Amino acid sequence: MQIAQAAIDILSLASVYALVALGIALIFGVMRLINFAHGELIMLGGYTMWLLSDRPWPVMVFGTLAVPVVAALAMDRLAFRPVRGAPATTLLITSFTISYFLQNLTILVASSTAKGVPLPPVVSESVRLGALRFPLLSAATTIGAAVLLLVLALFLRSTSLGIQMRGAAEDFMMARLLGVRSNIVVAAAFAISGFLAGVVALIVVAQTGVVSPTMGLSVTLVGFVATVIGGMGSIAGAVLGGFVLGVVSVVLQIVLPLGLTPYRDAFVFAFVIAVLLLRPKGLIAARTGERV
Amino acid sequence: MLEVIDLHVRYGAINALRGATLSVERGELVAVVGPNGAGKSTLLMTIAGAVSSARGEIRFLGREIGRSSPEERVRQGIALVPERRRIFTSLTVAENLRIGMSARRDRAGAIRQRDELLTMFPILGERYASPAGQLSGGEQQQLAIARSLLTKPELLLVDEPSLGLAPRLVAQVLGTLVELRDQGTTILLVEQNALKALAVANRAYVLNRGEIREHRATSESGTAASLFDTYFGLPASPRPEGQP
Repeated sequence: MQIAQAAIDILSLASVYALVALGIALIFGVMRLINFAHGELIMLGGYTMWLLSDRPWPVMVFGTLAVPVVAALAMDRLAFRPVRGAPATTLLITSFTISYFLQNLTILVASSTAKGVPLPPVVSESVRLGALRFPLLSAATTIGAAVLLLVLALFLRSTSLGIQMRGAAEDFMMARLLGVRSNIVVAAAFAISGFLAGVVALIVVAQTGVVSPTMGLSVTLVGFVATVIGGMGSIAGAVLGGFVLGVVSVVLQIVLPLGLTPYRDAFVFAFVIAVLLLRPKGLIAARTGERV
Repeated sequence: MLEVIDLHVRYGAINALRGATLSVERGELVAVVGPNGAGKSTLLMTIAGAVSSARGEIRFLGREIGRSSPEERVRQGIALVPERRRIFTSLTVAENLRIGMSARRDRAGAIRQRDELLTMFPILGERYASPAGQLSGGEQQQLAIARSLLTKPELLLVDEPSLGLAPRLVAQVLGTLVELRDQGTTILLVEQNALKALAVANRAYVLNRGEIREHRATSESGTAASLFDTYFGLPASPRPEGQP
């Protein structure tokens, strides 16, 4: 019974990490940009959820998913496109700038204090499966994330745009030299990344019930670490890295003696260092071509 | 069809191309030969739009294309088969070919052409669902050519197709280029292996230290020897009749 409960917790957390890591990896794949403003897309989704919390839930869910998509597309068009092709440090500084700008804009508009988001009672209900009872939210997170990952995998494997994105992730210039439109591929990556940030916002706010200007930071850091141990530039690696990090986090939470659980993250990052020492390019090394 | 006029390309302090000028007429197979580091690949990459020029003009079908993006140039009819093939190794052969069809609007025509290319390069049909990274060097070269042909180019730029291939495969790849030329595709071939390139080209240029040094019809007597003088940086000099 306890193992089944732990499995649901593991899958639920691992799914969130995988979705964040995937959002970061898609952008890194096509632009070689680590978008540290990804957390602010999650934050914008969270605040949209707060703003729309008195509206019917389909409106709230749609808004929470749509606003990060629009924000991500605006990020690409207004901030990243003008510096596309610039050195990695320029892109990195641009992403930090956007991150701080959006955080401070939120503080200016909505104050720096955390806001409670009233959630429908169904969020805290449990479901019964035979002799097992587990939180509905954990089950919905796990199933929803699995479906989303499956749909994304199908998109990347079966559609022309998906195949172009995978090709561009391996060798962006070669893809352009075959007629792949760079602006469309990059915009698609940002739109999907924004959508994933919206999904993560829904899950995180449903789990915690609060939003704050810095709510996206910690989960984005974990997502970034997941993409590193998965293999920078590898989309499958990012998902695997997210799952591995989620599994390790929950397992350590269970097996560590009570006195050591406050230091769980130290053990998690020690594990990350060990992985990188053994496999410096990550669990699934990405294949990359020349980027002229 | 293609006119390159006084083209200059710089990589920082290095002048990779210094006033390169050449032309290619429709239906020709024109070779650009020269030693390592002469600027041959830079020339093709600049024509394809992957490298920006500092100065000069690139005119294709009468239009200046120097400021067009690489993807726009593909739609205008220029395709590049790059040095070292640069196939997408994590994608299957089928997916590599599908990316080559990205710029096509006539989907039915593209699928028909893909099927024709699979007949022309049967190994690609046999390995259709395999990751392209598992292909041999020669097979990858065939995939790179087929993938570029699927963009429906009027001008095919081919960069060092012999690189890393066994002599038997080099002959096969160059034979394919001649076949394509005979079917109407205009080709600008860059090749370090000058003898092989001259054997298949209608005309040739020699590029050395970023400058076009000589241009003569390959059938002219003594041209090969003269080209070699230029190739190795010697001044072009008249030779006694009959001497190679």
